[in-house]
Amino acid sequence: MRNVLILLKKEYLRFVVDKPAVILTFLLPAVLIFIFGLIFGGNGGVQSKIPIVFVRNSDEPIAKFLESKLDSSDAIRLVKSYKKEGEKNERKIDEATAQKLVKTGKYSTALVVPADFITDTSSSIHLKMYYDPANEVEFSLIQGVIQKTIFTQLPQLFPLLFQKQIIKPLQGLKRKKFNSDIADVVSKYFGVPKEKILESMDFSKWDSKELLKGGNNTGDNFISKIIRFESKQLVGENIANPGVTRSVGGWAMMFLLFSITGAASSFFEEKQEGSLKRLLCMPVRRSQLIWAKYIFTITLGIVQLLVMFVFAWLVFGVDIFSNFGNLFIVIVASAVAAVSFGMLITSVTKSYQQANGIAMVFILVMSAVGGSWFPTFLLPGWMQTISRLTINYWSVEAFLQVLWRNAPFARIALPVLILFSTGFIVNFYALVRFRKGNIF
Amino acid sequence: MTNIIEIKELIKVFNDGRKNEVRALDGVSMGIPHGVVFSLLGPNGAGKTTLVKILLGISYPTSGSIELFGENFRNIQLKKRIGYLPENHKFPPYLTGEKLLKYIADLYGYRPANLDKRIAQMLEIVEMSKWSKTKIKNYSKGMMQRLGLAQAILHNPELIILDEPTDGVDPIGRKKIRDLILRLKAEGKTIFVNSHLLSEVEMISDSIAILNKGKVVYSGTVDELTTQKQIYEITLNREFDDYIKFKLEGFQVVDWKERKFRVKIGKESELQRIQQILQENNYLLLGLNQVKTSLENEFISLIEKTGNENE
Repeated sequence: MRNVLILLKKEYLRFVVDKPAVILTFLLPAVLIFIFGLIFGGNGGVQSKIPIVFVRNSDEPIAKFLESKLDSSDAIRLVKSYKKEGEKNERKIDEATAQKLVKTGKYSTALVVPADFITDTSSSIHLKMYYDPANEVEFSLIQGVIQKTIFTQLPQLFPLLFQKQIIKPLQGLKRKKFNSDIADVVSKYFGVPKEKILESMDFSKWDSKELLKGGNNTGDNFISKIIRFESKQLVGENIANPGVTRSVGGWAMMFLLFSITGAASSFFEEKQEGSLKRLLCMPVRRSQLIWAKYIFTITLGIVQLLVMFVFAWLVFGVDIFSNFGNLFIVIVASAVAAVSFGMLITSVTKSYQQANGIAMVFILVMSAVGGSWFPTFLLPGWMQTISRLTINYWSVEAFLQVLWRNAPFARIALPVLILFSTGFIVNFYALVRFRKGNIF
Repeated sequence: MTNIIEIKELIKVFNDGRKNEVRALDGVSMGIPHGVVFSLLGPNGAGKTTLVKILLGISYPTSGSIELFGENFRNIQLKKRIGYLPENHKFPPYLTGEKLLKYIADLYGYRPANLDKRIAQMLEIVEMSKWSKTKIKNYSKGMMQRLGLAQAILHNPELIILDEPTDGVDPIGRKKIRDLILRLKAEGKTIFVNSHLLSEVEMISDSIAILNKGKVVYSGTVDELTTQKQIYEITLNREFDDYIKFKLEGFQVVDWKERKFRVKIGKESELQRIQQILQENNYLLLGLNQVKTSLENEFISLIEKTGNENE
């Protein structure tokens, strides 16, 4: 037993002195639990509202009321105007612009309240939705919020729509006879004048403003028949495997970061085995060693991403060829950014174990926050701001533009520029660090 | 003749970022002439590795100057004139011995017309021809060391720095390495050896330097170190008495043992005077032998005198 205790003490000591192991054991799970807690537990402060484009073409009070209720929603934010590049003032968004904004990926959904939102002859209310299911979860959430708002905030509307639904089959004279018979019965048994009853049954005289007063009705399955959603998918209709097409970029970026960091930190292995020392004794400059490693890891990253996309094409039918030029640009930009991350980690750490431990923490956190695992809209607002500081975010955005929206270069220019700039700036800093660091 | 390596007042200070400074080299000065076998000795932590790293341009000094071949050591082109065998080296395991030498030749920019022949020759010198096409991952430690020597001399360098060249090599292999070093010296090369094996160093070195705590505590030849305080063992025909002990009090007698005693002699005349005293007192000299101290003894003595870092 004594020996077991001695050995146990040794095991604890060995674990405690292994800092990367301690980090991976305690810090990483804590950080990931924190991120998931913010998403699913709602403890992350104010959850960011999902922006949707909103166009109202109906002046019906109910349409205005619906707008005001959606405006006060905790889950969505209505975007009604936008500023075009080069213009000083914002302009109101019309239906065509709404479609364009969705198509270009600026917003995922547009809700249009058309001129025929509700008419005298309507048996249902009419809403139009234009959407880009690049983010399926987001789209489902928006749709749910709109339905919930209508069902809970406009219950007064339903009696009218119910009756319209009921009398729809009773056309012309039959309807008049039906109303007259009903009025006779009510008058006979409740003593109300028949004219008053008939007047109240004349829907053409109903004021929609009155409908907004009182009422506690709630919807059921039948309700879906009285709200007519005219949904139109604007992007990705012809994509063979939407799920994989949407997510392949995020996963590819995460695995790229893992492999690239491993390749960059192989400097430590070379140092340990003495081959780095041997190389430095030759007429070879440190910068040449670093550049060789940099170029190698970039080419490795490019090849790895290409292999992953080719695999996605072969197995899942993801279309990588119709916009291959832009896809390749994003691949190169992502590889440059990922390599700079690997070089930075290598330049600031003291050993292979330390580099891998720290890299693991950063890669998993960046992947979670940057959109490699789940859409960033699920994160609280402040964390969405942080997510923009990760290379995963820009890479995922660019891959989505290329693969999902078949976007031209102009639309990927910003993320590509950010990835390249990040790559070069971070790598420059890493180069400076290398000269002072522990590698040489 | 100018020295191939000229080091002046070299200081290297390591700082751990917490205001803890370690002076790995503390004013080291030395000169190593052309065509000699020079050995750098010292206990662990003496600063040997730091000095070698600086010579090879892996590390840079805090202050002081180094000239290699009469030029500033920072000139990267000078590295073409230096061969290096690192300690505990590992070469890419997926290469064969032959391919490693080609790779090394490429990095040195060494492209003679007969490179293949030169590579075969080097492998033959280190007795590795048979294994030239075998992958390094299958090599034993001794084979690795021999291949390391081959790559160190492949590009025909003028200065060859060998870090623990006989480490992990059996006695026969060590003898071969010693022979190779002497052969290279005969070809006019300068060999700089960094080793812990004092007996090996003693056999091959023309000059040595002993570092301790970042300072040079000895610089010169092995002979100068081991014979500077000549000790003679004198054997007499009978046991000595107190009177003769009294008569020899003025000399540095280090050991009395029955009919023998050992005395440190500074000047030749001292020995003659001792002989004269013994004769005057009817002692017959049966033996007079010079006792030479070993390098190891002198090394330990020097380190103890200047303080051992490991204590």
